[in-house]
Amino acid sequence: MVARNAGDAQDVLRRAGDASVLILTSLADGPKHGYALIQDIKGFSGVQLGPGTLYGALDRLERLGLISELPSEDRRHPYRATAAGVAALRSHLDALERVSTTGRFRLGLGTI
Amino acid sequence: MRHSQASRIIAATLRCYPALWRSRHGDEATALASKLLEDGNPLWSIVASFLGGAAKERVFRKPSFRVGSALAAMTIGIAAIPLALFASLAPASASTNITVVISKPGDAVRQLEAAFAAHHLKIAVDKRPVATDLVGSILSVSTSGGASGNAGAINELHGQCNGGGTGCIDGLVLPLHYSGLVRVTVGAATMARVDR
Repeated sequence: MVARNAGDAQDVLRRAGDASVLILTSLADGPKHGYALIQDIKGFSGVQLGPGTLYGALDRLERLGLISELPSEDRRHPYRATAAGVAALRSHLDALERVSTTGRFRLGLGTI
Repeated sequence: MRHSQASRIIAATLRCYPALWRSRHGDEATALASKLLEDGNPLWSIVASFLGGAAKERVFRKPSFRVGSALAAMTIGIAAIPLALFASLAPASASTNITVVISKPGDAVRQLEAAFAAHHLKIAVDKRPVATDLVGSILSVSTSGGASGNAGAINELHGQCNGGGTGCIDGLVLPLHYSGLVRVTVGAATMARVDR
């Protein structure tokens, strides 16, 4: 017998770490290699990912099947988001948006 | 500091990672570190980030590790904590569940076996010949015995089928310390029969 709890299962990024979310967000508009990921993430979030954090998160996301490695360009390995990765990111962003909306409402900054 | 000296320090830092990691990421990580140095990032922040990553890699990724290497990794990790706090974004705390998603339908059995083995889960994976659209999908998960401590049991992840349809089971979420007996059956391509 297998228990089903779609709500818990869908947001697989909830405990994957902020770096994983930033990486998947960066890959949402196309494949990138390590240096391009760091530059892009710094550009849209202001967060400078350290290289150790980057590779740890890339390995974790690949183990989860949320990203996959593309054939190597010289020494660089581009990564792309898989269909499961795109779905996981969408689910996680929806959850964050609910929190954001509630928080802004409670701070008197907006309406639900 | 001269570039060659910085390169030597980076190379020495990368040697803290396991050989398997170095064979996969070593060259790219070296090139990436050079680019970051050219961009003006301080050497100490790059080194600290790699040391933190190496400690995590050795402590959390290795299925079984010797006491010596564990102590070395912990020492590196403790030494790197203050630097890593400033140098990199810390990921969230470890999950009590693991999520396994099949990303390569043709290699589903090996992927699942590797993921379960990496977490020391004694889960048998077998395959059954199926139509093309079910190749790489989980067909059944049977559990029995040893149910204590398995609250929450196993959840299925539904995703795309091989070929584009939806509704196939392409992953599982299960407790990190699952102790029951489990057998997972995965769809596999039918073998072409050779007539002699």
